[in-house]
Amino acid sequence: MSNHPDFRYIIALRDNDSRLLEELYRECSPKILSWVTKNNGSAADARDLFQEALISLHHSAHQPDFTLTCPIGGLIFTICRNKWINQLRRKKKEAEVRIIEAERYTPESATVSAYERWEDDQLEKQRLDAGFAQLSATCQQLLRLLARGISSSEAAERLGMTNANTVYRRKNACLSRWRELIEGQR
Amino acid sequence: MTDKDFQIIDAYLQGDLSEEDRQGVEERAVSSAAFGEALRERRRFAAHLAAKSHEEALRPTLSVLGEQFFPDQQGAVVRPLRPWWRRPAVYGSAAAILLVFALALSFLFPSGNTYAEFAQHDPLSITERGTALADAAAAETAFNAGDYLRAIPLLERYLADQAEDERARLALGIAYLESNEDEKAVNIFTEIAASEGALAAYGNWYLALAAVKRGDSAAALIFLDKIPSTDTYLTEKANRLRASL
Repeated sequence: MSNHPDFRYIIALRDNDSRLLEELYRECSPKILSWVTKNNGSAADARDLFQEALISLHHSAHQPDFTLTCPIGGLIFTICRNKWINQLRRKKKEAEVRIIEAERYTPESATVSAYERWEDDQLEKQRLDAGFAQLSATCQQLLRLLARGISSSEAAERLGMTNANTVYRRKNACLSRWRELIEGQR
Repeated sequence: MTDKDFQIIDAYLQGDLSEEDRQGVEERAVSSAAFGEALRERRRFAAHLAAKSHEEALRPTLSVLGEQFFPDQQGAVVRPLRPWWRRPAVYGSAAAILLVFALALSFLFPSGNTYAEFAQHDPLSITERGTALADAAAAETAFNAGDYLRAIPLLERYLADQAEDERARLALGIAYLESNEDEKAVNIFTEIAASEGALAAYGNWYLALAAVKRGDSAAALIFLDKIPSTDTYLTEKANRLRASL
């Protein structure tokens, strides 16, 4: 399936391209700001929702098979809207939730599909994060260092391991343990 | 699956294999269910770790844009946001302030007002990073208000507990630099630049600014050259600073 032209913003999130991200904020922020402030939220709430939506999309963007098949503005709005409803629910503001849910909001089918895919990605991310958090501190540190592109020999030096081969063996052991922890959650 | 298999998968994911070996891996992923599953799993882990690693660098960019596009409605504190030069309203007051600083700095620093022009620091946001330490909010307030002398002991105490908070460590370096404790500042920036962490480019940027401050343009240029072009924000600032040296 081919990508929507807005996929360039997904690349911008992956590459931390501040120019394109500024364009994305300029295009999409007014709608989110207006909607959140009309629904019992502040500008700070809108800012946090928008940022967390982008961070979550940034995670999806790292999946090798990720595609964007709808305008990104519609997807961001749907993510922010649902996140805000969840926050209101957690604060026991059911009356506000009923008002929001009473309004007519029907996103395009492509946006609905993209949102469902995003929800799946979020569940997957939560599972991976939960497993990662249970790894030993050394495993976490080692995997983080290697993910930053630091060489095995340098990681060995930083973590006081004998050599690059030890790093490789530890990495394998850590990844296997991570898999076990994730499988244990199922 | 053997150790050797995982080694091949690692090399494949890092792009270290020849075209022929790559094809071999892809064919084996189709013919062997176990190998295919291991490859998918390692790819999933690698993508997740890469995203976590990049997130550290992305958050500061989004925080700055968030402040710009979602301004607080009730007269919130005005912070020295990154794209200040695009805000016409600040030019009048900024010009007046810069004039005063320029006069003062022309006596203090041989490189004239170049340092003052480029020493515009991004706001610190320790408290947004989820810590509940008592010093965090006070350090953030002092730093963002430009009260660097007050920020220094607060940041030092905060970092005694939170040694891995690179943003706070960078802020401490900036506070030292602004308080004319340049040697301490340079030590911190050097460590950050050498760390290859998310803020390594900022380490080099501030090493360049410290060099400008002491009038060493040649050293500043060396540090500016170390800023990767993939960091478009700092590259733009570096190009402007280069042009003014």
